[in-house]
Amino acid sequence: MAGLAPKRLMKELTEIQSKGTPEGIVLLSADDMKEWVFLISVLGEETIYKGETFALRMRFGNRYPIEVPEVTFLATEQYQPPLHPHVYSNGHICASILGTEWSPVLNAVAICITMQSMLASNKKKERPEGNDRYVRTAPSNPKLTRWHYDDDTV
Amino acid sequence: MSSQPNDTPASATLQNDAQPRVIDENTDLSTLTDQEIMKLMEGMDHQEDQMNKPLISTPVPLVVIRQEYERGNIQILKKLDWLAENGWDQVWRARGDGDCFYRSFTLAYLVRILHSPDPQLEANLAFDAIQRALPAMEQCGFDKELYEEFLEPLLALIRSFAEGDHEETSTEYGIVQTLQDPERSNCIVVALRLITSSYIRTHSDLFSPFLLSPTTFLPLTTDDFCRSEVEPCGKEADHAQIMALAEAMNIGIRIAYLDRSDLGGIDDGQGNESVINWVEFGKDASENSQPLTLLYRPGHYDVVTKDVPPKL
Repeated sequence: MAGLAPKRLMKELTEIQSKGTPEGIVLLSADDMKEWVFLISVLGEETIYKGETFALRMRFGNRYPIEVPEVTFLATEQYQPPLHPHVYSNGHICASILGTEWSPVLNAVAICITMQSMLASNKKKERPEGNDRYVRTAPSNPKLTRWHYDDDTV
Repeated sequence: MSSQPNDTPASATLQNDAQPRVIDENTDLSTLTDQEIMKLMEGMDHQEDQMNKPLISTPVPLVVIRQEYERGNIQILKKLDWLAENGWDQVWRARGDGDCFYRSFTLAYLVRILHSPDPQLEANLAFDAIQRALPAMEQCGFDKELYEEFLEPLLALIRSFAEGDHEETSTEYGIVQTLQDPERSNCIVVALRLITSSYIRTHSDLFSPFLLSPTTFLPLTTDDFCRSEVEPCGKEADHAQIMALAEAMNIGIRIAYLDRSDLGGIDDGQGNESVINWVEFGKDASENSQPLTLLYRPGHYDVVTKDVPPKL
């Protein structure tokens, strides 16, 4: 039973390569079974993120899929995290499925879809309250932050 | 899961020469000091402690549990004494990580097969019961390959009973050791959570009145309840989950509630007076049908059994 994580990731990768990803989601890189990057854009005319593309990085531990991967939006010269009340300027995301509501039946693409719809339903471009304070003190791995989930509507 | 470093400077607080006591599910909450409450609210020491404990342990005598309550609540002591007098002398501790019900279930389920008069027959019945729970999982849209992967370690253990003569399943010790392997134990937890979830989802009319959020006590839809309270690891099981798993696996579960209520002595369902409240789940939880027996202390489940002499 050794190596649930690589086996599962290999399966996900094969599926992405054969069936593709949903519209607005592109697998940018999956060089190994440790770190993948997806590009995410929001579809349609209604969105406040029209024309923007974000890069979502997932780092998978040995205990994936029992444990949630470490998921952040990239904050680099090329990519900026979306302006969203649940996304900090360092790319950390406050979302229950990336914390206590992660379930091992979910997968990388399901995370992308959740992030895409989180962006799609947002009407106000703003950072979370206390962004600067959080970013100053945040651990590099967002999984070490104890999140408080309070608002599922955006 | 905290970003706070765990390094209280030694000089900053009042020095206390006494070793900090272990606070766990047995601690009488009324005896907590303000300092201890603070520490618990930070949640760190406690959680780190828990994460170093084995997923499931070989049994300790019930006396050990009683010692933890020695200066505690009299009702709890009365209940523990009743358990001891009635032969419930062993407790198999599960790690308090929110998966304790599912891990306790797994251990009790396998130990029940081990000690049944005909383990091979019992293993075949168990295998069959699981196979019959599968269509509901498919009906709920769970990926077949995925749940089969999570189920495999449990099925492999059950198969090894059916074949007989496997080290892993020929003794209580072998079973405990196997279930201490995190990968296998976690896979089984996920499989049981998916079986539970699909039973609730396919019997929504039966369960929906009881599906409440454990934090807000507001009603949840079946889908929300399963997604947030059943499928994720680390989420405690409550009556709805226990009932669903008992029904789905076609097995009786009896849970002894070790709380402070004063029952004075009630019929335990077997015609005996009991001072402990046994709550039964599943079609037949009478003692003759060898139900799984768990011990519940607020927020935590362990397995409680009567010692069975090893087979020669």
